[in-house]
Amino acid sequence: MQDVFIVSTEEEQFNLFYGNFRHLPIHFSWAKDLDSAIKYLELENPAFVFLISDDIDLLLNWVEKYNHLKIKIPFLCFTGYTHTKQSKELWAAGAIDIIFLPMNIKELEYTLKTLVIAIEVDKTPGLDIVEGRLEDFNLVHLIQTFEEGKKSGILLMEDGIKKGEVEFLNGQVVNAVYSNRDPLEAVTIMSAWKKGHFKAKQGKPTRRKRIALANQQVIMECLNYISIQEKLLNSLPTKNKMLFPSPLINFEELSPRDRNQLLSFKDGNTLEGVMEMFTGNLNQLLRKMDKWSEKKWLVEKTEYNAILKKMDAEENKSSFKRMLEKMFEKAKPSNDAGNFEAKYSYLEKTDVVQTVTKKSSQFKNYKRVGEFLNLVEEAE
Amino acid sequence: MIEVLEIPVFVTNPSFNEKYFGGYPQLSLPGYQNSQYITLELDKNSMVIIYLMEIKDSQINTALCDRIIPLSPFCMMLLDGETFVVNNFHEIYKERYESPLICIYPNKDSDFDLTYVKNVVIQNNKNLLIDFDPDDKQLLQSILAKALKHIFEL
Repeated sequence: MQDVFIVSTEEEQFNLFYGNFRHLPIHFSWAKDLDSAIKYLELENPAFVFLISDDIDLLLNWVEKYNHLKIKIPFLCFTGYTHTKQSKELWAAGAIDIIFLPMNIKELEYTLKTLVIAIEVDKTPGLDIVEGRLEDFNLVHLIQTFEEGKKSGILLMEDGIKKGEVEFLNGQVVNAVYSNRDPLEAVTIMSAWKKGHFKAKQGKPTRRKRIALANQQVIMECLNYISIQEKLLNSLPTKNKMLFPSPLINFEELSPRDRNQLLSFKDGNTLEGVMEMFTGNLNQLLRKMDKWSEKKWLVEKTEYNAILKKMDAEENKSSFKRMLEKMFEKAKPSNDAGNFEAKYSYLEKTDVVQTVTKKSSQFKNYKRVGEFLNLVEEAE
Repeated sequence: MIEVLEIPVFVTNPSFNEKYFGGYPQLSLPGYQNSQYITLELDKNSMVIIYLMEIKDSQINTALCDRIIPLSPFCMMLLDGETFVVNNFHEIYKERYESPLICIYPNKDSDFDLTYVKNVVIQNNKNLLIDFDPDDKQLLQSILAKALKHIFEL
């Protein structure tokens, strides 16, 4: 909240601000002339003084007196139309800005926001900057650091072309921005960034609170996201292996997003290369890729060439033979299961959704259950 | 090294923590309102941690549950309180988790409607319905013995 002291002979001018801009984080006070204002300035110590008068001579008098008294509070002058010479005098006397009234309310609001509120954010004390590499401290560590120190500020994250921000208020994560993701999702995505840089700036957050979860819950979400990502990466081919989309894929049957993602492998690409350029939720992409490699939609170079060769051979068969084969295709047992599966895999969409959200049981040590059973029975 | 088994128990109302498990010392789970845990030391190397977790508006606290449930041999659901809350919870649970669900219910002073549990929940062979005596001083041990036996035999 900023305090603004209005000096104007007309109460109407005070009402203009008080009546129209109550929703802004500004508290307005009013004095009828500069002499009465001076009494209160020391007590109230406002952030700004607005000197408002249509009479330019009165305004110049006030400014002269203001400077004579060596008041250090910055001031703005509001007046009617003035000549350039008089405006120059006001500028020379140290006015931050000269605003000509009457003015459109929206325009005036914008002026207040840029001059008064924006300056408040810039003036926040302790604007310390801390920088580092994400290899050394990931977002989870950084959240804990902010929490321990109960710090407020903005954390700027950068991983190649990907850039995001996390905002803290008294150590609590309150907002995050990354691509067009929801704030919580943005935090979880950024928590998995393992290379790049971060920059922490202390100060008040500039956006409103949009993450209601406590830090511990946010960290749990992040750890969950990271562990899922690690599992998915382990199940996929190694990061630097060149992959190609299978020539058997019918791209027309795919959703535009799937099509674009698969086409990023068109001339061969590594998982690492795709990950570097991908700006969305990486886990979603990895899940899809896991499914695609299972269905043999993403194949290695040798396999890719073999499929192409087979397709060429098919093309070169006589048209009569192909027609016969097509006619008896249904009667024939499916000897090309992979091809069939690739062709109709879009029918399994519901299963894909289920496997995406379902958490499988990772408990496998049933021997330990037996041991615990014996111990519980003994204790009974 | 201490071997630990972590078992989540879902309750519809935090007051049941005291009502049924008041005989065991309970500690609150930091950061999670209305969630308590009980530790049962079976011997110097083995321990069971029971997480008493409130089902809030039949929702699952995904952050915590996603960490604990997949690593647990099974989960337990206390059948007391609003029947529809428990039934809704089961619907969400079965969509999200594969771990067996052991339903426990007090064998006296309870008017909980078991129709859904008997006809739907325990139709899955992995799940089990266990009744317990609320006055039993060794309540958790007796429930655990039955539950672990069921899981071991699966």
